[in-house]
Amino acid sequence: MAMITMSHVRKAFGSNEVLKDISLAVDPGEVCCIIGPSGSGKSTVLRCINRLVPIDGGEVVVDGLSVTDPKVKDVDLRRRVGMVFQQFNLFPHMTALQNVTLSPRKVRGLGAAEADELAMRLLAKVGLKEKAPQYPAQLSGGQQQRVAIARALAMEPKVMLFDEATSALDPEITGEVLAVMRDLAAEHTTMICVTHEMGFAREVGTHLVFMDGGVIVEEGEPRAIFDNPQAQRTKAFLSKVL
Amino acid sequence: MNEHYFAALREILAQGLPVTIEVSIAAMLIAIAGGLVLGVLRALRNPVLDTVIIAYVEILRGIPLLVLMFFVFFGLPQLGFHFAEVPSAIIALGLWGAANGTEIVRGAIFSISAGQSEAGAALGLNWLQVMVHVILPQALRRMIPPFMSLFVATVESSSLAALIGVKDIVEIVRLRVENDPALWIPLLVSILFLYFFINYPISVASQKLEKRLA
Repeated sequence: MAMITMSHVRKAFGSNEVLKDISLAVDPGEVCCIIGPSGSGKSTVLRCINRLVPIDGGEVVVDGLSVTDPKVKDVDLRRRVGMVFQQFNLFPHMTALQNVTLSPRKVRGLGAAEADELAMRLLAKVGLKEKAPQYPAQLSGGQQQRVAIARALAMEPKVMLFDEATSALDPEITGEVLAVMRDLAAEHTTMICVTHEMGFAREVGTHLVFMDGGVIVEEGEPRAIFDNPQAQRTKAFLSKVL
Repeated sequence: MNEHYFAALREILAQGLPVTIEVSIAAMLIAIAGGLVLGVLRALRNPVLDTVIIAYVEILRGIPLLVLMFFVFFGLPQLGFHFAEVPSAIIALGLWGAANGTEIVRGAIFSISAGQSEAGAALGLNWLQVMVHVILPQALRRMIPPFMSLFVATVESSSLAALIGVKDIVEIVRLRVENDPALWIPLLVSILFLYFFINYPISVASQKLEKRLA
């Protein structure tokens, strides 16, 4: 069964139709990369999955929970979905460790010692164990984003969403964040990545989605699409970015 | 004139100063508490609550503080609510401060980037948890300087209470010069320094706090 199923999802902000009839299925262990020009609705697709944005029509089911079902609580949905943002959005008044332990303690109800242990394990996983007592302002952009990944993983989610996780970083430091994402993919973490990193989408992705103007223009096996795009719009886009 | 001056000064320091400080601190506590409650409620973005709070803020900020004091002290008794001079001054100054405090709190909360509450929500925190753990700790730092300015303004404005008979610094000066007009200048200069010595430490404390929390 698919981990995430979107069927005929529609979303408009005022008169601006951002998503027009989006249908997409992501299986457990898949790394689904969404590419496309700015304003094509890629980020909104991610935000519909954890209800940060309520949808206007259609249906999204996450691990058996429907986002349109009023009986499904926000917290139950969001515990299953980790999210990493373009601007990191770390909490500046908390240390790296406190950023990571907040959700385990307040949402999952872990004790302080247990949460600290989990957080240290995750910070070690992203290579930042020694940065645990530092504040975000003391960390580089790449380090901040790796803390943000550890923070999302601390919910022990079923799926990880990456919203242009490397777009705010200098080119020479995107590598350290992509390396962490590669590790997660190698562990068969279910991931949906909105990205401009075509190399990552091609090599790590198992499923590629090309969006433009609020619709999915083309989707399938990444290498097949990169090497032999079918739609005219996909060809035009790839010829510009590759 | 010397002994009259020192007698007046003693009375100002022993009786007027404590009243000015009492009225100012009590009003400021109302301003902080009221401002925090109403300012946080504004963050709920509930249309009905917003309308009520905006009306309160605009009305209270739109009328002269002295009129508000007269309303509480002379007007409310006719509606059946009687307050003595000092409580009337505290109520009027506190309600006025709470209106200004609401705007301070609201402004500080809304100055925290939307990404912060989005990240909190994505981590599964509910609205109140996001407010308590993510938004307010950051917003509180930004509230300190404007709240300190409000405190200074409250101390200064507390002198209006003299006009409803509160025996604060200014009222004692006024009563003393009635008998001895020669005291006008020495007493005015004295209370000028007195207000300065109340307000200057507040400004210094504000700057220190701001630096420490930055």
